[in-house]
Amino acid sequence: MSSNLLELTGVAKAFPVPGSGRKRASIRAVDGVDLVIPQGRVFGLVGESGSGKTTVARCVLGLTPLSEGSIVFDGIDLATADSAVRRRLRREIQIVFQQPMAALNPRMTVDNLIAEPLTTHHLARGAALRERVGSLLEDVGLSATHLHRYPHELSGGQAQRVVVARALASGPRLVVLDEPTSALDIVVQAQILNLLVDLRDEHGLTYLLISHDLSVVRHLSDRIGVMYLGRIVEEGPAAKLLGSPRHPYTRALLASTRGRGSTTLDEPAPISGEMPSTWDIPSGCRFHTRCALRDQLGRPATCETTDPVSVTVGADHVAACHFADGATITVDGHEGTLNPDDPVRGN
Amino acid sequence: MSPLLEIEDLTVDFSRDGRVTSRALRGVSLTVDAGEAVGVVGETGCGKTLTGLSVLRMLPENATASGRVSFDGQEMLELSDRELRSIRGKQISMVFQSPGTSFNPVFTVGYQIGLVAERHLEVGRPEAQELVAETLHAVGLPNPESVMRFYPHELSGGMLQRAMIAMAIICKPSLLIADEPTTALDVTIAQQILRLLRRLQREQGFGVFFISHDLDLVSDFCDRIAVLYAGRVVETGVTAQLLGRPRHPYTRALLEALPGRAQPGAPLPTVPGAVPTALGDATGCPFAPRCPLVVERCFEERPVLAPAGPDQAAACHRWDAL
Repeated sequence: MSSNLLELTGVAKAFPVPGSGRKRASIRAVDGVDLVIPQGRVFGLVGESGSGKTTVARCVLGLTPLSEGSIVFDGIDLATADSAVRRRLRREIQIVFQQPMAALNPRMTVDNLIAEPLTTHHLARGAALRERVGSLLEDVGLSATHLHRYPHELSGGQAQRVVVARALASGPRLVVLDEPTSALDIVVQAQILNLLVDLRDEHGLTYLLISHDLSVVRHLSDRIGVMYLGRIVEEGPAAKLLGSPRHPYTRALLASTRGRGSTTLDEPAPISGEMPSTWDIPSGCRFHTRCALRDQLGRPATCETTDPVSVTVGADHVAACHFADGATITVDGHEGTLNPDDPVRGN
Repeated sequence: MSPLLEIEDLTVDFSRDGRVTSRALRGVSLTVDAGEAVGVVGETGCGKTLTGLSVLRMLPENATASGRVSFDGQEMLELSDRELRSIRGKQISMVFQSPGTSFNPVFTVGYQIGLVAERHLEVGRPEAQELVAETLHAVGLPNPESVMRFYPHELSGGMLQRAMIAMAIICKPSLLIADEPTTALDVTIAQQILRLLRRLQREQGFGVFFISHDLDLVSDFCDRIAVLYAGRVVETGVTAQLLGRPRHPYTRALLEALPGRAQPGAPLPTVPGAVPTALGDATGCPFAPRCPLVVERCFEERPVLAPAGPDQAAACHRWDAL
């Protein structure tokens, strides 16, 4: 048996479009995603809104059936698991949502909120239940003074700690973190990130981290996958992917978040245009409509006609770009070498 | 030369049944020069949006502002409603955080932007619509003639934010208040919008009052930065200086807490405790209970904003210990 806790192979999710008549039109929110997360590791999934990151999370949680592909958790295929196994998996795969206030029932107090998953899964009752709630509270850095408060009596950071405690209550092995700090202020974000690192170490947790914020993903992740229009376009070890990104989209994302006075606003934006709709996925490479590298290379036809496959660009590092390997290329009769370290800028 | 906008000792109280229930701003002082970009940063509830709204006197009904807000020689807090209306949208305009909720969903984008021009520039509808097309082109929207006929829901977030900027600049204001103009947008689109604002600022020469929680964005865009904490300016200075050598422990805490600077996985420095409530007020420094540099004096005497190096001021007794 492999040591991979989670394995996604060719995962695709299409949503039917209502009112589209007999044509049976659908949009492919996720279109062929492969990823593996070894036990105890953190995989960060980044991308813009609409790239399909949250749909991947929903598939992993079993909240929505797959259209294609498979998800294997700890050697068990989610699609074929029987109901008893599924119940167990619900305990072992948990989620932390983006908006803590929306994830907590406003009419329940903190102790009931944290006890709920324990009673639902018949994990504790009576004195043992109270003891377990107390220790979970301590795990997430809250104290007994918070026990009888309602969500509206908590700050955003405290509420997110309660959400984390609820996720931990059932003793999960995999926790999906869906934008866990996007709604929080900087200092509170730092506190929650520290908490997530500590909990991973103490409980040996495995995380699937979903975020649009590259600096958060960089901070927590061992590996990173960059999503664009339903696909992972680049994937690799965090330091290498961010240190020498090979896909032009990853480079543009990085350039967009460099910040701290290092960005000159008089230069063109790192990427032009907007992400096309999943209704209307471009032919060939789905990124070609916004790709600065393609423009730099004189718009080679292959970008428009051929869907690039992921190629190895380094140890454990793949990118889905025809020109990602930095090999000698011939464009319109001009031969040259593409240096992967060259900055790529939009127009 | 006096600054374009001068806010002095601005206080905003919220009251219910004639009693003050909270004091959200506690004496904010700030200036924006003509053509200058000033960033106002701070955490949720520190009063940055309220400061922006006070300039246009768009506060909720149960809020009272006192102090001085002087714009281009006019005392904003003393103007009649009629005088105020002639300034709003014309000399001072505002770009809000969520473009999706800032447009009226039942009118076309072009019609709504046109109304601003009709009202302030005394032009007829056809002329206004021509101006709208021109302005939409200026904010980088392709096919302005067709975009004008769209309803807000037919445009993406990035396109709507461009349309809102068009609405804000159509009368060529001298001050633009931008309240988290890119927070609702993806990073790649945010970069496009920032560049657009910068280009328009260069072309038209307006001052920008840039409200954001994002220090990175503010540092890219602004000439000067003011850091707000619990309703007060705790530090202000020229961008590079303030970021390079913060003179208030709160500013330093904000910078250190950003995950981009730290070693991945290493504990991020944070400050203990939470922001004080808007009710009541301690005698000393409001940051004292959370401050790593705290001494006894901090609890007894409130520090005022005072020079702390060239082009920089901090409200801290111990700024030179940083």
